[in-house]
Amino acid sequence: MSWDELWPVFGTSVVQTLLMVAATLLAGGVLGLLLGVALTVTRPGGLLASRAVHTVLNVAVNIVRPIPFIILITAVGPLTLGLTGTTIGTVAAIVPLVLAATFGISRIVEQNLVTVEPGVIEAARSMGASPTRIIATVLLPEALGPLILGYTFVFVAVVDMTAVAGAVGVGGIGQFAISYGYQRFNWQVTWVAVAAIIVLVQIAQFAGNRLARTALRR
Amino acid sequence: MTGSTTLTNPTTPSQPAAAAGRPGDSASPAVSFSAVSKVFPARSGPGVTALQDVDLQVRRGEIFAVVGRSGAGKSTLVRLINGLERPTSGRVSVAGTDISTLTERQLRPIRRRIGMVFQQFNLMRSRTVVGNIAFPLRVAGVDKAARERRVAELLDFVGLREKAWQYPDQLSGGQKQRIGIARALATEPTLLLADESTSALDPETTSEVLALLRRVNRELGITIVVITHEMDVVRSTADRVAVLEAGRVAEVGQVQQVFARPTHHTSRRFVQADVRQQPDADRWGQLRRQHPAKQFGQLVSPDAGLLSRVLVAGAELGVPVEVVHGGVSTFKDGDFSSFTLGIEGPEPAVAQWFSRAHELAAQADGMLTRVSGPASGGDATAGASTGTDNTRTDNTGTGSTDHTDGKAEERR
Repeated sequence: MSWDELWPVFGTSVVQTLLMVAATLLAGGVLGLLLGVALTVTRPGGLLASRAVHTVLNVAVNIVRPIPFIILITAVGPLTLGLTGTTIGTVAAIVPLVLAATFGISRIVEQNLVTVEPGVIEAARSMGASPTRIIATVLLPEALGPLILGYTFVFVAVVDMTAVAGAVGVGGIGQFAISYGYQRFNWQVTWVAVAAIIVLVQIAQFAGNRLARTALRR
Repeated sequence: MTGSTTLTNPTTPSQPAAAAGRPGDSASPAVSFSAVSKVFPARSGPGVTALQDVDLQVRRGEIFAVVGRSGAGKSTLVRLINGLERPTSGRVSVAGTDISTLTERQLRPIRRRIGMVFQQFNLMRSRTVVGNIAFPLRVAGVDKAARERRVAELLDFVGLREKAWQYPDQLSGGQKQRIGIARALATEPTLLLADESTSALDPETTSEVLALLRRVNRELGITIVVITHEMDVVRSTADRVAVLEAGRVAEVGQVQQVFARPTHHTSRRFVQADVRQQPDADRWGQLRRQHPAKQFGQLVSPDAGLLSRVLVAGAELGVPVEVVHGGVSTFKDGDFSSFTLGIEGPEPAVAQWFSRAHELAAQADGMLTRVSGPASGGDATAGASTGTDNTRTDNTGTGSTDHTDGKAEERR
């Protein structure tokens, strides 16, 4: 294939990757945030400490997280089929992507929220603030800088996941590299795909760093 | 530090005056503990007893100090007052309201009437000074205009108006604590809890913050409970003090009284750690070398005039008495003096003087301790401010102390 034919395919691939990454970060980001907050506040000594709830959530996260993504895609096939009507293509890929991202993000959120000084939470309690208010106006704002860096890290991980998903035909830059590069011994195509991903990651990391710096004021 | 701006107390809108009780039930004490115990459950075993059978009353308008070593239960005690901890048994009342039976939700309006100041300040790093002070007002549902007015007033009161738009990370420790105090005062509490509020500060800043707390008490009439392990904080701010030892109240009383006549060995150790006018081991060695023929007495009293009466008694008995060490400490309202006296002469006259001086000391609410035999070692009084085990004349067996004030307790 000539590059005249390949460029349009490459363009579509980039759009597909961006679509998958955006949808995953949005849905997985919100769900992961909720799950991460729940993991944090139910810890022993937490704002809404509950050993039972914490154990259930903790075990659930530990079950889903270690599953290699390429296997997770096929393992949740029935769920994907039920939700999107297909198991092939970009939209179908979003289901396992969101699932994996949610559980991954929850740990990153938890890690960052537990670093918030317990004293600051106690101060808010001593002022008569409710747990939901404390979560929304103390816990999350106090951890905002590290959270932004965490989400930037997740962005890179999600780009990686979409490329892996390329192996099972979901579209995107990963599949472009596999179908037109790897399988046709066309090194140049692979390198273009790699370059595209590097540019994407650089932009994301740069933006994330800037935002985090603003939030941390340093 | 601060100017002399006075803080007016305009009625804050949407404040339920009930809960922690503004006037109205002025008969009940600000805080009352009756038979309060607190046990923290342990994974295995019987759990850790933080407080046991605590009975205390904090009077309205006073500065009440709770002093004790780390682990004595001070922090637990103060957290019981605003319900951050619940008693295992007993009753905690705030302005007449029994708070030990309330739910978390019912406690919230009460907490808004109780300010709290922390050792580590606990300011939100993500908010400016204004944002931090306004936070409790937001929680209380105060509207924006009233919030801004109140924050400006508070900044003036603590003398940090120019720091309004800075972040906590840009402030010094003392400034952070003054903001912490402003925040605690935002919702016009009737009670302020200060948990080791100066323990993270240097001595100079400590006195600034303590002066601010005294002003809060004096000008706004707010009752303050001060938790500390530093006796000089008690001395310079508090009206009354409770000494906590291993979860129990060892002694409660007027600060000067406790300094002059501590009845519990823990209180005595705390007093000795703070009253630096008493000689330490090195100084004792020096005194004995300088005055080989002398006997020594330790005179403590809230009444500095006692000294001259005791000296006169010596002159009348024909035994010269001289001050070899000592000084006067300053309290919130008054002084406390501690002098080491050297006396030389024939035994009957000396004994007579000791007994006479003891009478005089008792009349002046003070205490005379006869120190005999060489003192040695084991003394950390001079530099200690942490309540380390420091006794002057014991623990090697070579020294002994006679109590000539009629108190039978062993000095340990």
